[in-house]
Amino acid sequence: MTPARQSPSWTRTVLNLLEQSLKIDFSAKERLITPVFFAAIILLLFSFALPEQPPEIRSRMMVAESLLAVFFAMQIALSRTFEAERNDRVFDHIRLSPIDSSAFIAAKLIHVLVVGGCVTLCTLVLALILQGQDFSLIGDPVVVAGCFLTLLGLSGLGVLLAAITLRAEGQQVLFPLLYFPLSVPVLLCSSEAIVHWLETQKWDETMRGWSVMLLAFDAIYLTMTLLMGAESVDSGP
Amino acid sequence: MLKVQDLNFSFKNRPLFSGLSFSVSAGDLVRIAGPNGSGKSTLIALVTGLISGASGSIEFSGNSDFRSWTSWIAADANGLIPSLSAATNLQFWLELRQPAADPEQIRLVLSSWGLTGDWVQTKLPVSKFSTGMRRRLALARLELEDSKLWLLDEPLFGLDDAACKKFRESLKDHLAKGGAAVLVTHDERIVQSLEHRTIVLGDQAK
Repeated sequence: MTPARQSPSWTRTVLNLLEQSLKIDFSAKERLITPVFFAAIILLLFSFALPEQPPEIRSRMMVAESLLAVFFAMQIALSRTFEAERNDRVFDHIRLSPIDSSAFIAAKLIHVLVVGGCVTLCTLVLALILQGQDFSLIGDPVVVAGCFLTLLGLSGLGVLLAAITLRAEGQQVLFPLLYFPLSVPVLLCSSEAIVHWLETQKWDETMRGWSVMLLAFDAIYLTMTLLMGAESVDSGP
Repeated sequence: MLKVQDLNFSFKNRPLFSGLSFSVSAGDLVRIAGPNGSGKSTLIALVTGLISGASGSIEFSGNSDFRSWTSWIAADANGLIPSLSAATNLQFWLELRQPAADPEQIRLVLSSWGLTGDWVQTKLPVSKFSTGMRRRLALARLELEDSKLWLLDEPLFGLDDAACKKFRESLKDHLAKGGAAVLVTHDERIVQSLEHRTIVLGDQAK
């Protein structure tokens, strides 16, 4: 028996938890494929349902379709955030491991961001193909930053809600009921900011306004996730 | 290590136990016995903090987080990630407790629990294991965690005679090294050759 054992650092714990989450995703590939597939279906439906757009509103339509596809695809990924831990009382074992609950939540957040990043990239590429837009858009730093901040907000909110509804009965109904309305501010700010940038290519007052609001919502959701998510993990049933 | 004092717990207005007190010190083996539904698993869950709602007190000695020196085995689950291999599972769980896990030690302990061969240890996902193999893996983790206090709820569930014998040896070593255990079991044979105390629940069950 080791009398005084050194505990792993917070960062090491996050990396360990993140590594296992990614291993689980790669061992059951449908966990990654399902959201991407769902996003692709939404984009295809839009492209078949809507007539060809005039060039001046193409970028606006592309942003709207892409964000909507990412939003719904993320709902699938986020609602399964703690799915692996529900099996075989893994979650209870994690609770009884000497780790800081915030490390568990941070690992989940980064994991969702990685999955969301893959989904967003695939969605954007498909949206560009379907709308006949230039691929250079993916390399535009403002578009990339906009997408990242959108993902950050949606992931923060999603992990928070998944943690809060972890032990709730009817979690599958509760999660979207809360996720849909609360993600509106993030989607509104990001779509307005990205569309404004694509149409004007100017970092003006309007752009600053939407960006600051997006950052503010990200900050609110992330803070709430790290504080309330950890609290939710710690609390009993 | 552990002191339980005047513990009272009711489930849906049905008292499971009241005024329950006991303590566990280094080298102690405390067996919790009683009929089905008498609250044995509930008592373990209360001690670990997985459930709340009891009156009385449950105190762990020392200032350090009790989770760093206690290990738990549940009756109805093993706490294993099904899509990962046995070795990856152990590495993951151990690295939540210590900075690094030794792969060679993991391999040796897995082998000692009858989980031998590279295929079983590192290739086969735990979801493909039999019930007994999963329990062996959970007990291998218990051994590797090297905790002072073991909280064990029916640890022999699904095990064959060889694994039961191995567990008894493991428990004996643990107690000899100054460890302690609270053990819920219906199986008298586990504790037969070991010095122990028995707490019988169920007297107050209605």
